[in-house]
Amino acid sequence: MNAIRPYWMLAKREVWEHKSLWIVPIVVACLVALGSSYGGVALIVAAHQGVITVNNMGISGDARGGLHIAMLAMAGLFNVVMLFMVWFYLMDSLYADRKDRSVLFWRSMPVSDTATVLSKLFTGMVTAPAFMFVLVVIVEIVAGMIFTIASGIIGVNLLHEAFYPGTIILTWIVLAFALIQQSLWLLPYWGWFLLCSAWAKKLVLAWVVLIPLGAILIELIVFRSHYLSDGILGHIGRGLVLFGSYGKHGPQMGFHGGAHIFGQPGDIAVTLGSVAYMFTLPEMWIGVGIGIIFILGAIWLRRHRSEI
Amino acid sequence: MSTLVKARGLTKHYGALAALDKVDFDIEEGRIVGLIGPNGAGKTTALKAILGLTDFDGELDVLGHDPRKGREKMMREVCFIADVATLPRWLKVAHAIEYVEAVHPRFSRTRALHFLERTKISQASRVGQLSKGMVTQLHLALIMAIDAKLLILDEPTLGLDILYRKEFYSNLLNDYFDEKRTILVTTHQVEEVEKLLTDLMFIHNGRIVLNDSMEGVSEKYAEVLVNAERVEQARALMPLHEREVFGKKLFLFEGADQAKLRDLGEIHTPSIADLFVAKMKGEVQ
Repeated sequence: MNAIRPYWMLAKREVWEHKSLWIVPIVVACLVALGSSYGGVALIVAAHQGVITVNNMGISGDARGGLHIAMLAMAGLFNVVMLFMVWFYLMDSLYADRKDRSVLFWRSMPVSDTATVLSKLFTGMVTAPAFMFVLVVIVEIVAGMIFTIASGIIGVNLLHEAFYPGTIILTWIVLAFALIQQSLWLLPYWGWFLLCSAWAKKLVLAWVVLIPLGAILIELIVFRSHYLSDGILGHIGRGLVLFGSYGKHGPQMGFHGGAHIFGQPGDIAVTLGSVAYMFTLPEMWIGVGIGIIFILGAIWLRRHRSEI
Repeated sequence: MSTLVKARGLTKHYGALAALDKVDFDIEEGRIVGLIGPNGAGKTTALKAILGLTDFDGELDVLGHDPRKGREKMMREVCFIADVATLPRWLKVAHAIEYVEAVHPRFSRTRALHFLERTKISQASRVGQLSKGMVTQLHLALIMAIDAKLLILDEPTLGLDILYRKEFYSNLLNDYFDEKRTILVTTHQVEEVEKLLTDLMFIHNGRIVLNDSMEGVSEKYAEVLVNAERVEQARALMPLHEREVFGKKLFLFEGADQAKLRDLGEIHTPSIADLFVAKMKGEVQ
């Protein structure tokens, strides 16, 4: 028997159970494609009515940068949806089967609790972002085609004026790299959700939110300091390159600041270098370490406290 | 014949309450063992310990494994049906088969499909769309398709109607059980498994109060229906239990001289339920 097969099946099992992880992003993709079509039609109508003219449409100056930013902005939309889906998925992942007692069926199979917990983490950290990446690529191709056709109709050759294959491919590579970095940067949160999911007897969300919130408030009131809020909430803002933040210099929303990391404005906004930079930050690895501790806790709970 | 499960000084406390109190028992290959006891007697705790679902003190060997360690290896040879409705509602029948086939090295798809063919279960259905009885049929089909050494059933027919209950046990006996397999079952419906069992284990307040083969039980225990005038004579033989039936007295004896008993009246082997009641009352006294 193929040694990978059981693990492949565990990942597949998650896809069967948590359909919303896939359906919601697909719905978003359809909406974006619909929006693009509407945009394309609007462009043609506007040109026809003389609201815009081809001349003052003016694809000028930084077309590469604009394309890059537009592509990442679209990815950012999918990313927000994906992160929320993964959040709720992970909170449910070790709780739902304890609640409906099907944990007794799953644990009657020769699958280790470590493999089970890691299969949930894998789904949140790898499968969901990978699926999102594929969707973004498809939607960007579709939207690109729609706008190319619409522009062609009003006499602008976008293929010639705005689409740079090098920029497109590079943006996708940057996006993939940034998603990997993001998954690792958020590991302490994923671990925390798994831990609460393995622990809670009900209301996982309450444990997930109230414990850190309580700790932050207690620190604020008793010690009048805010290390915890900086560590717990600030960490998110500092690490998500796709939302334009980068390390202690951020958070900087948008793609304007930080030219020394991003490269010159007009060049592309998020570079491989700006993502790679995040891997050099101690904060990233401290977070990963904390995440691993939470995950080990979740495995222990799954093994020893799986009953509600 | 080899020993599959060996427990020595098996102990489990929930706070001050001892769910299992230094329990010793062996389960041999090729047996069908009924673990019978009142609610809270420690039955489920014993099963959970064997399955590695709970921590415990003492020694426990299940097919050469310590259930506390390397559980997933042990579970290749041990199967388990907790009770009805532990299959998740969202799972499709076809997916359930696909899943077990991928994670269980001893599962045979052919066998599972063979068992399912005899039911009305469609592979496209979700568990949530099946009746309780059908879910049990599905679970049993999955489990019987696994070539396991030890099958553990914890109240497997709870809440099922009589047709499904009968079918459950007849399937187990006809299509699954052989001299290489061993079944450990707990149930409240003792009449149902009475004819099935080869061994009987009573558990009460965390202790084993009876542990014998069915032949041993019929040799050691006897029930005699005694006319009113001979009641004192019967009582002199130290019965375990007595009760009234149609104006006569029914006495249950443990290890009494068969010849003397025959003298009192007609002898027969007590039912598990009657023996159980007698033993539990004896424990209380």
